Amino acid sequence: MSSSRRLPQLISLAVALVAVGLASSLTPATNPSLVSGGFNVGFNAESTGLFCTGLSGDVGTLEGHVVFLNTTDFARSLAVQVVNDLGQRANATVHLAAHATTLVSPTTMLKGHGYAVEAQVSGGGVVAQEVTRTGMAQVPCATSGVTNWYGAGFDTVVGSSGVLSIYNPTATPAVFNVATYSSSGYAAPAPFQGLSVAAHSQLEVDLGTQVVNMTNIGVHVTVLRGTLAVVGVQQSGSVVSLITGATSPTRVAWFPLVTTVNRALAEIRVANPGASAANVTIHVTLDKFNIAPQSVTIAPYSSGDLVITPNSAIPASGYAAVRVTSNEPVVTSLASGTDAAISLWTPQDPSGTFLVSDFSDHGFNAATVTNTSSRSLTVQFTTVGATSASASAKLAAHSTQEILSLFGGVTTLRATTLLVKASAPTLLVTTTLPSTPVGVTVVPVLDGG
Amino acid sequence: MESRAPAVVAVVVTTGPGPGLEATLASLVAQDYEELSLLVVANGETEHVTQRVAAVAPLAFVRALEENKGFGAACNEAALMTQGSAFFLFCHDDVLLESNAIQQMVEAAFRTNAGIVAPKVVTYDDPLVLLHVGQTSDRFGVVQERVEPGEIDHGQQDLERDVFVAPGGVTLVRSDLFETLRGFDPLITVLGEDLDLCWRAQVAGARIVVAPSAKVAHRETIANGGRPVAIHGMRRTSRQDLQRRHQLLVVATGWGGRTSAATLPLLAVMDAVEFFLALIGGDTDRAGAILGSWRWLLKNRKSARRRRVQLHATRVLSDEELRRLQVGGASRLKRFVVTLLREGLDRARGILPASEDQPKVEVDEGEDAGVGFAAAFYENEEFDEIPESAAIELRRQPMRLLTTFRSQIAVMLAVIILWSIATRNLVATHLPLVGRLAPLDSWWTTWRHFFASWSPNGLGTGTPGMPGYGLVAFAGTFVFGRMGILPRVVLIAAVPLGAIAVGRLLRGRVSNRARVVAAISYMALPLGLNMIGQGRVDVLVVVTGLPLVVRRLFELLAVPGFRSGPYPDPVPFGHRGWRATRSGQRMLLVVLVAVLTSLAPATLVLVAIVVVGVMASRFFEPDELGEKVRPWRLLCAIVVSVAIFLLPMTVDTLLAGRRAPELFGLAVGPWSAPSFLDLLRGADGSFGSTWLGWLLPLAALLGLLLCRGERRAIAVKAATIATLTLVVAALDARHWMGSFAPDIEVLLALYVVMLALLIGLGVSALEHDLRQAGFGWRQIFGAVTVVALLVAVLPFLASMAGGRFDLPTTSVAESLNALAPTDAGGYRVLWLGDPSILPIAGWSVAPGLAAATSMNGLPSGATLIAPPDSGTSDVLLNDVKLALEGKTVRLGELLAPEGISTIVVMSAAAPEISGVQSVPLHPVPASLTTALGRQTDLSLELHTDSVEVFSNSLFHGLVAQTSPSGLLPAIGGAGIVGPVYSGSVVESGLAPASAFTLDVDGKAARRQTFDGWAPSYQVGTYSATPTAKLVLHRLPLNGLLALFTLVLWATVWLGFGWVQRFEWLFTSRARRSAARHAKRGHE
Repeated sequence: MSSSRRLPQLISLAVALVAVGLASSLTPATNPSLVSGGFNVGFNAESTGLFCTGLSGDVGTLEGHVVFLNTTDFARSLAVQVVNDLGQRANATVHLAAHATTLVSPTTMLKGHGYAVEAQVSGGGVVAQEVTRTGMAQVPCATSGVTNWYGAGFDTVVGSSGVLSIYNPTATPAVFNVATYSSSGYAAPAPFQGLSVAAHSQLEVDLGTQVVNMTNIGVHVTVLRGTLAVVGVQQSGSVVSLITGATSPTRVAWFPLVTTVNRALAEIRVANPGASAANVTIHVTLDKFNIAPQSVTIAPYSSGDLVITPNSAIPASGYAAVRVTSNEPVVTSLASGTDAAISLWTPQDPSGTFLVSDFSDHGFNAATVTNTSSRSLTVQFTTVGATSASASAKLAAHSTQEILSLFGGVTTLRATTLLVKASAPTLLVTTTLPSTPVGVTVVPVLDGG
Repeated sequence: MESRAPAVVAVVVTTGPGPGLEATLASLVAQDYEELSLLVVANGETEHVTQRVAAVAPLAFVRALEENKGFGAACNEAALMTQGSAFFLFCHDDVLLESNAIQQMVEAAFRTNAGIVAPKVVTYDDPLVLLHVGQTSDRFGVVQERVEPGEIDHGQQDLERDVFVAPGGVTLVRSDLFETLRGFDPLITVLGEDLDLCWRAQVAGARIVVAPSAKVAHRETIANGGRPVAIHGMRRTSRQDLQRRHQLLVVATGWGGRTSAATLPLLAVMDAVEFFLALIGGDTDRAGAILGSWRWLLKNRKSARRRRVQLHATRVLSDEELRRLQVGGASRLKRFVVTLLREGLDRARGILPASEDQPKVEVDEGEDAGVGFAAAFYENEEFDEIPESAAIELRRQPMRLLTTFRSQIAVMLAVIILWSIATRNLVATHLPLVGRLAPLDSWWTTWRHFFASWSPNGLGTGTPGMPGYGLVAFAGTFVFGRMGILPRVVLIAAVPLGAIAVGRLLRGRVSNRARVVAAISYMALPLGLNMIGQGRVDVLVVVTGLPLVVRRLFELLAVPGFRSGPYPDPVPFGHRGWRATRSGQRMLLVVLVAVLTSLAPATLVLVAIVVVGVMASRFFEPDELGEKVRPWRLLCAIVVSVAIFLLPMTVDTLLAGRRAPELFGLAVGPWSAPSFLDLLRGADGSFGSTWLGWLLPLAALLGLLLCRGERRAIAVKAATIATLTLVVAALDARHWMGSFAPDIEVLLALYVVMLALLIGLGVSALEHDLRQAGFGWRQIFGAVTVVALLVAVLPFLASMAGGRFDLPTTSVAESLNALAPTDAGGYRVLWLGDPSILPIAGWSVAPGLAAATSMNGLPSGATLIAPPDSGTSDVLLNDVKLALEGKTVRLGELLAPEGISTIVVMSAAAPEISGVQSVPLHPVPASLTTALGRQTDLSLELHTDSVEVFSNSLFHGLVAQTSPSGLLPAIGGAGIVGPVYSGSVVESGLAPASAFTLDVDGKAARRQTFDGWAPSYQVGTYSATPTAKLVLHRLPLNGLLALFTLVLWATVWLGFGWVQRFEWLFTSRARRSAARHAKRGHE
């Protein structure tokens, strides 16, 4: 037997082993955790759910409706269930033609104080937005529950109220705790611990009952069992805000449309839910002005703010794009308005798909796209409807542009539905409604989540 | 007439009262060489020297040196005094030369053109005993004798030859060479000057020869401690110190740059090892000598550098050429290894005397005698002076450990006792519902599963019963139907039986000792222990039977060494002797493979790997035997035969379509699959995951490297198969082979068999090949192998404590017993989890996610084995997949018609109980957990790290009927009688729809199919509440198929000679009949 051929064989075996070993070791196996939802679930889904909460039956600013929009080319059937805070239910079946919208007003189906609307859609591609009667407060309906919810900037001072509207979208009776962070520190009021929500039921938690006469309250909802759809409802004078919140604190947040006009008020409210002090810095981009970053330190389990408008270092010149960075994960929100009343807006996470639709029928004062990454993006705009127009545009790194300046397919966004898709999930779309002063009402855009 | 002989100056260096000076001088005076001058150098103590010299050799010159600066310095001094001599003869003062010694040495010098000539040296007391016939050295400067201790001079060494070292005592050196070399190095005062001079002479291109015709007797009073070392400034320095430092100096300066860079670190490592062994053994002198030598070298680094420069100036031979003149390997280490292997650890440590049957060697117990490990490195002849042919010595003194039958039996008994202790808690205590430990049904019911026309797997299937049921039922016969005993027997006995099978695999190829070691290694390899801990009885059966399969495959593939002779002549099937024929052996292999495949279908993949491995090996290294074998034909024959033997399973596989590859196993989650390093160690579980787990694979690797000849041919094939197995397993673990995902644990079974085989071959190589090889890396590897094998058993011993190899005491599944719905009627539980931890057989949904159902509670024997054809259960699997992809929020609604009341999502086979049991997690795809949490109709009932349990809020029974308030549970299942509402519609979750009819008050109700699979029955209008019963109506095709299979097995069994064994029944009857006929004829 030839040992000269044996060596190549042993070498071949060793090479094979090393190659497979390297290939196996260098490509880490990750457990897939991402579940598609919203737009991403695809039109061929068997069923999808939409969960809306936060509307009220009380005559006033919180009275409103849910707008369902079918973004697909196929008709959809919706099994709608309205639940009130008394546990009463009303059901309806809604057929939604392709690209059609329909309104469901819970107050017409059921009498009560607080409402939640659940819709089971036979298929995918249907989105929904809660809109108050005035149209000045909007929030997208959730496609799934969450196990953690964070909000910042609630006020419970006289003339204001902060409420958490909670809906349990599953058959699991949910149990949750609520903790608050404010200038006086951390609080976990006993009445807010171990709260339970029955399956497919709605509950409201009034922060003012436990955190009295306080501004800038951060909230953390920890779901111990099941999942919940949560919407923060902030009423400030006659102004109502519906807050989407966040599922986790972050180190970076973007506020692409922060008004700096005279007589307006705009501040970034920050809650620090962590055990370490957070150094929070704002980076303001405003026209041609070069504005130095401003910082503030937020104590652990506390809250604080950074005033953008009025701010002697920031000129009054339309919209500023603000980026907030922090060395510790924090929760942020934008409080904008006037001395008399403010509205809250929670920054959204960058995504690859957004749906801009004029649910309030007021049109938009501004609608921008922001590239949060350091690489340029290709953004595709498509109008949703019987006839669709489409165009693509390049968006430079770290830049914010008006949608209408990039997309010539429409002259106005009023009564228009526009699907915005980016080549990478680093896009933000932000809109403000027409208001006085200008730009104080920022409304969340459907991000497909 | 003027003499033509070259002038020789004999330089006798005497120190102190040298007892043999007069005798030495007298023997020089008596030389028959004409041109001899005598110069006596009195080194240090010069008192009375002149008188003593004058008394014996009045013509001799005497040079007195005030200080004793050593032998070399004295010789150098003498050389300076001398002019015109052709040779110097450097003599100690305790030698005795035969009268013609100088004449012979000079003649040899001229004849061979040698620069240095050494005589044959005998002992002073007995001139028949050889002391030196030249010496040699290794690359580390350790000098070796060319004669054995006490070797009698029969003239066997009387051949003039080149040597590396001319030992001191009497050395003839050409004077021009001596001048070129600048004489002896004054740094080397005593002990080692001969090595140094010869080394440098070799480097300078001079030959060194031994002239046996010149005979000299030598007392060696300095070397053996007969005289103290009286050199100035070195009275406190021991001989060991001197020898060490001088060897180190020679090595440090004797090599060129590259060789030196390689040799010195190696020497440093060996010295470090020896240093620590010396410390452990309490041999502080040796430890001090080692440390001191390096310190001394460091101190004299400038001198050393100068020596290097000088040597470089005279260099003629390259390092490679010089190496060729030396012996290979490391002599000192070799001695340790040889002693260790030959006479065991204690002897190697030097605490036992030499064996009785060996000639006793005087061991100096003086200041240099070592104790402990360090004694193996002892400097005296006992250890350092290796006979030239170590192989001869080794053959004469083979390693005795485990060589006797008695010792082997003792070891086996010890192993059995240890195993009994290690498995004590598997005998009678509760077996948890993990792995494949679902409680078996009764003996009769298990047979019925084999013949059944319908089984409850998934949503129900009418595919043929898997042959595994037949095998389990057959095995149940031997335990008189006590089916609960079977898994215990497998858990306890599988690994030891597998070890015995490994012994059989190696029978005739290696010694009994090697077989014992391989068998024990097989038991200590982690796979078997992990499989016990995970309750994988299917893999354990493979662990038992695979070595036998491999053996027969090797025989049929004509692997060298596995078939000593040709097969017997063909014998008709069924006759005695048929089994031994080629056909019989092939059939035996097929039967073995079929048995294993029925329980673990991936065994077929292993067969293919073995065949491909042998072929691949032959591609590189063809052998004559291999040319006669057609491996592909053999493989095809085996596969086809097994397919026929397991016909029901074959039919199931053919029906399975795209799921057919799942027969061999389901894809595990790459995120929880064993890593490549775990696979290399053969570890898929808690055992073998520490660094100790590397030892047995290391021993196997070293075994591969140590083997030679036929053993290497087998080892290379085993290594090829092991590598192929690992490659397939690694690809499998990462899910890189698509839906072909053979059970990783079954794959590892082949890997560990190959490891055990390599270990057995490695031990055999230690016994044979190592002794035939010159000393080198093989001996080092051999020592490492022995150590690895010894230490590798430790984890096994540590694992005995629990008495059940970490098999959990309770399982996740059992803890869910109380979660059954309270409603009347049957229900299904949907089990989701990684296939490696599900306690029930199912189908793959995605990598790391398998789905299976159990009826009315926990898994049972009815769902022990799942057919690869999922059939109608695809509906269920698609529903789960929809949820996994986030494409549904109403999974409960989708599952309700399937009768699923509960969904169990397992992340571990057993719950983690702090301090009691620790179980590895095998999480499902994280997206599944998220997706299930989104379902609007599932209620989370239980959530732990090990399991999540959801109840289906829309569950309405396995068989439901319409009512004004919606669907309500109806009858409990097939064969159960229950009331139904008149005029209602009964919906059944039992598939396939065509298999059942609903008899309502004895009349079959009209059947329809909804959702494409589910049967619904229209109950007619009755005046009173009617009773209904779901009745199974199927042609018994499955039973016929099972019967055919059973008959086939029985026929083959009879064919192995049993027909012949029952022959007497027929022959005696025939004989009686013939006798009756004969009787009538007579009448």
